[in-house]
Amino acid sequence: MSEILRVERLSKYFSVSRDVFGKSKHFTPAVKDVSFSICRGETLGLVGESGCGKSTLGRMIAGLLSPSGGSIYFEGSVIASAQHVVKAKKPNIQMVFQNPYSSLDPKMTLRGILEEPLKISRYNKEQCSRRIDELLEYIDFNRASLTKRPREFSGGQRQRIAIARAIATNPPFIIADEPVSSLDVSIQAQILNLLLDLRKELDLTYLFISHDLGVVQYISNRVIVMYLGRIVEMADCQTIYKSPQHPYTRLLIDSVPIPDPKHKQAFDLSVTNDLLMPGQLQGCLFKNRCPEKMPVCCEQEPNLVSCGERHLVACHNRCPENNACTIVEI
Amino acid sequence: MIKYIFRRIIAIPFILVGLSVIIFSFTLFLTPSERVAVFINSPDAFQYVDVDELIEQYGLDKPFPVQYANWAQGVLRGELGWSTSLRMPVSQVLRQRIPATIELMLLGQIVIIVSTVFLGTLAAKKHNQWVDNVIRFGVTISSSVPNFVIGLFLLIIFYVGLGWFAPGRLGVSAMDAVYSEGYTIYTGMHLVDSILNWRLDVFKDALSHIILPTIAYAAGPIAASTRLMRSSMLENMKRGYADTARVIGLREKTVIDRHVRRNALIPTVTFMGLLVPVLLGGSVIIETVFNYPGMGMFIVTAAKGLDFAAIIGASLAVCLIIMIANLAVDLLYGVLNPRLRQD
Amino acid sequence: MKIIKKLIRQPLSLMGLLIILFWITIAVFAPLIAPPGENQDPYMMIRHSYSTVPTAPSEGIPFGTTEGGYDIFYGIVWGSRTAMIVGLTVVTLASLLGVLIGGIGAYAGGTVDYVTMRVVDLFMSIPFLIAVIVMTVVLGKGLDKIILALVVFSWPDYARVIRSEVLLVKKQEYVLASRLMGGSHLRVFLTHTLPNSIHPMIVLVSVNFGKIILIVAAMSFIGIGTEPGYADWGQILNFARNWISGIPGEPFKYWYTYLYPSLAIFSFVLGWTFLGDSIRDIMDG
Repeated sequence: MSEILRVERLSKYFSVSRDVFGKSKHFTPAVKDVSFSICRGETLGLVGESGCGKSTLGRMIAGLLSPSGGSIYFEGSVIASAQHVVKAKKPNIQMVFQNPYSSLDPKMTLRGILEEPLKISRYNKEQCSRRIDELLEYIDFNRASLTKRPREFSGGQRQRIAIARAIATNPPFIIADEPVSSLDVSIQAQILNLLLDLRKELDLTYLFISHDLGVVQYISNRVIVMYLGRIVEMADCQTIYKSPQHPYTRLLIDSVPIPDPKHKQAFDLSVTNDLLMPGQLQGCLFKNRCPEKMPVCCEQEPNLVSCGERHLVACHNRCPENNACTIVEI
Repeated sequence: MIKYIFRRIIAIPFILVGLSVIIFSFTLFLTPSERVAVFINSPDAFQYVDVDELIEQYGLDKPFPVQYANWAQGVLRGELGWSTSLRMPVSQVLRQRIPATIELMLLGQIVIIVSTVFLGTLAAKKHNQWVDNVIRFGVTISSSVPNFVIGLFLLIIFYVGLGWFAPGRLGVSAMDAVYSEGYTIYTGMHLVDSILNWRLDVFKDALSHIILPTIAYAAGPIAASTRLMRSSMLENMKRGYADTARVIGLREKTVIDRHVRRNALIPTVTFMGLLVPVLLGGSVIIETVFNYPGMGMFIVTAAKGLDFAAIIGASLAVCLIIMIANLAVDLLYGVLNPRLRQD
Repeated sequence: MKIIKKLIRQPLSLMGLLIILFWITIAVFAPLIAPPGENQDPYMMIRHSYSTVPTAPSEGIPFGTTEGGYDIFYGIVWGSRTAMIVGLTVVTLASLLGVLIGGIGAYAGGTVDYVTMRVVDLFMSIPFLIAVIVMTVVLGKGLDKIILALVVFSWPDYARVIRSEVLLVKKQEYVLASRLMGGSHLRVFLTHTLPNSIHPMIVLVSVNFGKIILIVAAMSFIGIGTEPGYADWGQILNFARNWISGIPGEPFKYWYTYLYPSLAIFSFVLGWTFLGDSIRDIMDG
């Protein structure tokens, strides 16, 4: 499989407070030193709780935010590096957003919404109408809805429209940022299946961002778990569910609700409510919530190391002597 | 909050410089000989010296920054030029006129605040009852009547018709009293000075002259701020904290007077701050209608007489007043809104 | 369309609409209602005499004349045209300017936004009326100069309102999506940002229409507005100022000099206030 997207040591800092003269005083890393790559046709799941930087990462890859450091390569060429976003010649990367109520312009009709990407990419009138017919077929809408406006559609319908808009100009890469989290569970499956069908039919590559491990498991080949802007674990989907290595990953897997009253939670949640304060950025960031904390965790930040086939983890426990492991450089 | 106030105070000189540049740049529309008046401060300079010589002396043919620097130096020394329409140095006119306008403005603000709080609370308490409807209708009507029409009709009714109040600022006998020996002018505001001198006759006279302009002045703003106060009271009465207070067992009156009204006042105070420029603008009209010798009337006289030095000096004074008033409103805001005090 | 239906259903807004319609009709048919004399600038009031005293209503002069013999009825009819022209021009130009400056500033964000907002603050801290007076003094008398001064000092209001809307809208995901498709900033601004942030402007425009007329009338009233004799409500009222006290024994002798122009200004502004308030209520709820 050939590589389509590659991210190297990507970071993004946001300033949190300003001094009297309006200069930034404190920075907080939303994403720090993140590296990974995605192959063509693959679906990479990006998991983490809200605020862990997964959306920031997605937006940087889409080119909506400029990185503070590191670089992003698409099909071998740089599309973004520190403080700089290269203007794309073609809309190669498209996004499906979380909230289908704010991702469609309320003033536009369905036709206008679907036509917009085509017009921007200079399709002529005939091509436009042919492509719109195709798109409607993909998402199972009839032509009569073309004159309706977003408010006349349900949440699930809107999300299907957003997907159709994203694939309109045949981009090879789609970032889906929590595409189902604001939908009913019954509708979620519909949307996920649509995404799966489209992947097969159009040979798409997905970066699928979600906080819900269950959803990610359903659609992804490979999973990255993020915590406070860092990658803490990365592995194939089955590996990560069968043998999660990082305590945070285990916590996430354990918090996926299982509809069985007899099921006991294996993970002790009692120590997990203590959050990190801004001053405690030294050492492992998960230390305050970790049930397996060791002295070294407060002093040194664990590196991302290999702990199995295509399996990386950043935890001192999995690799007590840091130098004994191979530090993986991507 | 302290940081915020500090930042505001630091900004003041910059804003003043910015405004004075804008104001002074108006003189670029004038010919150098018209501009001379902005620079000289006594009539003698006008009479015995050739205008061309003056132009040379003040560098009026030099580039704009040089002229501005010259002028700004004079302004810092309190020299604002010669008013051709009133035949006095502008700074002297301002010393007399500013207190008059501020007196009117302060009284107006007091009337506005008191009636806004009273009417706004009343309307919100009696939401959708006849009292509320009357207030709402009155508010809509009075915000559409121009203040000069209100002023004219107040004069027609109370001066022409009933003969109760007269235009002007003081009657003849009170004027004599004010300029007599033994009467000290402390602030230039007659209402305050007469109390300090304990001359109740002067106080009564000054009050009878200032009442009509104050009403005409305040009517429009009262309408606008009552509308705001009412809707913000209604909104706050629906909030959770008001219900909490009721559940605890406080009487409705206490809930409204102590909790709701305090929170509802915050947007109203913001509005009062925005009102200062509006009121100063209004003073132009009101003072003209009532023949009340303040800044507004001065500006009109100056404008009619193409008295540029006066126009520029008065504009500068107006801007300064507004900035001081804004700072005061910011402080008041901090007192009312504890969230701002932290930070 | 829905808005218009709702406006007609409410008594206050219906009244506002009717008043405005009434004045539009008067303005449009002014040449028929009060035909100007031959070879006369129709915007200058007809003079019946050079009398120093106002003359009471009589046949052919339904509202009487002011001092100087100016026909009050003629002035009020043609003054409605003046009001409409000034209001329309100022509101259109100022809102365009405000939307462009405020909208672009907010859309661009950062330093551009900061600078435009400081300029707006600066303009808004100057009393509107005084600023306009100062500017017309420098520019000279005449309606065009008043219009210019009003535009220069009323755009910040629109800029401020549109800015806060644009700041909200530009974070919406449909705006981001459009950028992702490769849409240019200009395209995104014109097709998404503006159409979705424009509607608070409607309220502002209708409220400000009345306000602008008030200011023009106020300026003429204090004698700094249009040239003498120009058909303008404030000016007629200015002529009336010397006559409000009537003559001894007959305090209200010259009632017609101030009553008619006051009513004209009042009703005109009231119409726009009713309309503006109703539109605001409809949009809020």
